[in-house]
Amino acid sequence: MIEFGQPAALWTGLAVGLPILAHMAYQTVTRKHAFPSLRFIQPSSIPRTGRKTPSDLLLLLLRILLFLLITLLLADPYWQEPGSTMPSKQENQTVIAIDVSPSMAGWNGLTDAQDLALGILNDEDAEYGLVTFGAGVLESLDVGTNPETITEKIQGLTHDWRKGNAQAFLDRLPEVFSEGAQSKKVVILSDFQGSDWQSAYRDLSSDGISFEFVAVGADEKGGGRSQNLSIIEAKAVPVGSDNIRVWVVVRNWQDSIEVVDLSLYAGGEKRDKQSLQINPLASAQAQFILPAGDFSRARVRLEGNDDYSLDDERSLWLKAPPPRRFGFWMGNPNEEDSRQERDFLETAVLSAGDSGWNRWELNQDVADGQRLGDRSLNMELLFVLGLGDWFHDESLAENLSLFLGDGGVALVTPSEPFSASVSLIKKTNLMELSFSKVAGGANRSSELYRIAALAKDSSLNQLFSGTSARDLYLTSFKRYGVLKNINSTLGIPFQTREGDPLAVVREYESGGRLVFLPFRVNPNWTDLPLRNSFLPLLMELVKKGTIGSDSRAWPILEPGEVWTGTEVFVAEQPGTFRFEDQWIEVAPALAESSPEVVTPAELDLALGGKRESPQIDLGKLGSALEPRHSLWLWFAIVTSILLFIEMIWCRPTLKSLTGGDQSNA
Amino acid sequence: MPTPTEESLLDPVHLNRIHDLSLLARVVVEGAMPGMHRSLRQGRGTEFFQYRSYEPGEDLKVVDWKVFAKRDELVAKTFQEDTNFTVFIVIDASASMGYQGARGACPKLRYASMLAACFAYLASRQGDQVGLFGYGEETQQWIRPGAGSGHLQRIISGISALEAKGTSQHEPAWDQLSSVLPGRSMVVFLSDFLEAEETLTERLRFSLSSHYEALCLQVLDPDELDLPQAEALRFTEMEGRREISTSPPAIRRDYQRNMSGFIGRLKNHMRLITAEFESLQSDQDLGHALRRFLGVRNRSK
Repeated sequence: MIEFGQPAALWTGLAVGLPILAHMAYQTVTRKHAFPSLRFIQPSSIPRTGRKTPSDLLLLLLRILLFLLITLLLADPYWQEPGSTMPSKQENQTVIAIDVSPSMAGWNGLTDAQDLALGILNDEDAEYGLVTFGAGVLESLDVGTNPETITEKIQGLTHDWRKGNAQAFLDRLPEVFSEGAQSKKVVILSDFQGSDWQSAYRDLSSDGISFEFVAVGADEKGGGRSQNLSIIEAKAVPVGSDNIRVWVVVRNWQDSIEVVDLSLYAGGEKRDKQSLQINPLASAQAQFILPAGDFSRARVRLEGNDDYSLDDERSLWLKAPPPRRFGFWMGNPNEEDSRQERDFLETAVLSAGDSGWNRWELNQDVADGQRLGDRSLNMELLFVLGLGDWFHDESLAENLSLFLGDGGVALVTPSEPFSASVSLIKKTNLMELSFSKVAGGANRSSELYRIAALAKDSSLNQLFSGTSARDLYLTSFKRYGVLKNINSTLGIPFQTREGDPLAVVREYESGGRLVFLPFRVNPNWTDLPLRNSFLPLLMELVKKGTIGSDSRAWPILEPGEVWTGTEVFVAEQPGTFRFEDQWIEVAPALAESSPEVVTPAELDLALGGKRESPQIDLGKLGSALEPRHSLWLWFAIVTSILLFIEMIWCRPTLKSLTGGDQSNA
Repeated sequence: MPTPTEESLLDPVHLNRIHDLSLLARVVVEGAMPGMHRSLRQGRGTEFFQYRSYEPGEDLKVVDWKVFAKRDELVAKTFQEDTNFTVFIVIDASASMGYQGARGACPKLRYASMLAACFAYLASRQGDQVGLFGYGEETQQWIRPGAGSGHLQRIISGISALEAKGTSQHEPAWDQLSSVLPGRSMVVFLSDFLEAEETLTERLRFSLSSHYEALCLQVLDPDELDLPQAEALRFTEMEGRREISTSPPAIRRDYQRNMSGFIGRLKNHMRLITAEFESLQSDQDLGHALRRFLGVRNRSK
């Protein structure tokens, strides 16, 4: 069946052609003839040549046919095979791609996409495939799948909880099509939420894929949207020993002041409610107080409905987090110096915590497991006491490096001889430094060394002030190793008045920290463990550096993230979960709450800039898939032949020239 | 009556194939019209004519002694006698003279040129001085009267060089011409006389005084007498920009009546100024015009 790519050209051709045909039918043929004088020549009516002979009538018909062919030629004729079925994997392939990322749950995005997709499928003459995507390509149905199956699939679509990743979808998209396809086309139905699409890029034309996209889930005329309030943060912290404070931050994405009720649910009942007034594009905080121990979990919720409801609720644990673990590596536990050190340090660390949310727990089993190379064990602080040959013999340098690389903190004390410890540290690349002597080594009681004034901008200087600072400065050192050639990347938190370092710190990118003390933490070397300032000094030295904090909370994950314990926990949807010895909170993907969307122009660029014109008439999508054979060339050939015949037919004849001609002598 | 051979020699269709006007004139005059023109006067002119045998008793001055020395024979040397008469040929070479219809043997200017060449040849053969003035929108050829074969060749070359172009400007041309016409002469004017039967004859009246013999030959294409044979034509003016679309069959009768009236009026005007007038068609043989020329020439003696 002949169809036309540009049917509007037919009407245009008709409108232009009728006057032309009338002109051709009634035209009078007069030949120009130069004549010496027009003095006695009078104008007269000229007979219409079109009525003269039957051949002229045929000529008129020929011209009408010629004009019709030209009009049809301009209308881009093609042959559409009626009822043809498309071999789905060999010829034209069209895939409907529906975004099911969490943001599609808001602003009626997914509903709109489902309606549009079903509308496309209503065209029974076409065949389609289906792809759903969010964090990547989630599900796909091959082109040519039974429409009923696709319809059921579309009707049953629900949003995914994982944050959308359009790049992963685009990278997988070429694999959805089979290699033998003549043409590949994807119709993307998405809200094009900013965080999902802003960094996505793939030139689909380079993969031979043409594309169309339809933005859904826009609640404003310009295609934008804003109606959203989000709980962007919620956590529980202890208040004294009897209460727990639930702290919530709510974000207003709208450009107007909003008042919203925030409720706290615990034990199956609403326990409290607060009304928040939030400025445009700003955040507000709310706090609820609950008695500690009454409830294990709570839920905060924004009352009322907004356009995106997934971020209106948040669950959280009210239980204290597990204690932080520490342990010891020692060569000989019965050696006196090491034993004293262990006692002092264990007492100090245990004293640094409390019985609630900030507890320390000595777990030597975990420390021994780390010593054997088990990286899965969760331990935060490791004391390596009396670094000596045992450390070398057991090849513990590698395990220690792995521990530090995983974010652990280790404090190392030397053994005797001091030079062996320094040599070992240097040889194992733990620190780059050297040793000159042990100060006070010759006469253990003749001279005492004091701590020099702390640097003004140091964290220790901020920690110690007044009485506590006096206590620190009164600390005396009988012996210590004098270190030199210390690499500039290493930190020196404090030093003796002689300028010799009393601690050297190496920070790791993972947040791990290695602290080397050039003295042993026992009264034979210093009275530091006996002083009040020892505990804060020790905890400041072993505090994690660049990453992490000392505020204690349960792991908070987003859907799709994992937590690794003995086994692996995969977060699937928001809520509170118990996994092994952990209480885990899973919060909605925060980035999906942003109402910002990518503009069509940006999308064009992101997808290679060769978008097909929008097919609002979705029925067109189907017909475009059927095999069509252009008839343009055939029409052009026939038109040319007719034009040639017309020219031959209308050529000037000898008879018509008998009226004379003029020439220059 | 001319013989068939003579007739074909006067047919413009055949003559149009001879591009050299000098040859054409000699063919026509010597071949088609032997005896019609007066023989050359031999006498004491300056232009050598021919040798002939010396007749005893003649003046010995006519003997060419150099030939006698070479051949040992008395040969008399004859000269062409000057008639002291001038034939002045005036040709209208405006654009309308370039017309050639389907029935015309050649363009009108070509026909006029063939006649003019023959006139010049005849006049030269009779010892007359011949001058040439050709004009259209401006003067194209102006050759003062002169005699001799060399001058004849110049006249014929001048005729050959005429081109039909521009709008005819009769008045300034005849003003220029009347100031240089010699006293005893015959003026032969070849034109289509279109659009100018009154103004031109009035100008001729002033220019040609009583001691001039005037022969005005109108050259027309057959189309100009009864229009081209075509159903419909858009006529464009050759010396203007006017256009008229018409059906020649529909207006032919009126046109023929108007055209014959025009020619009649032209004849009357010419008669009033004592000029001989003849209307010629470009498919007509040259004999009639040549005879009219000789008749006027002989009468002027």
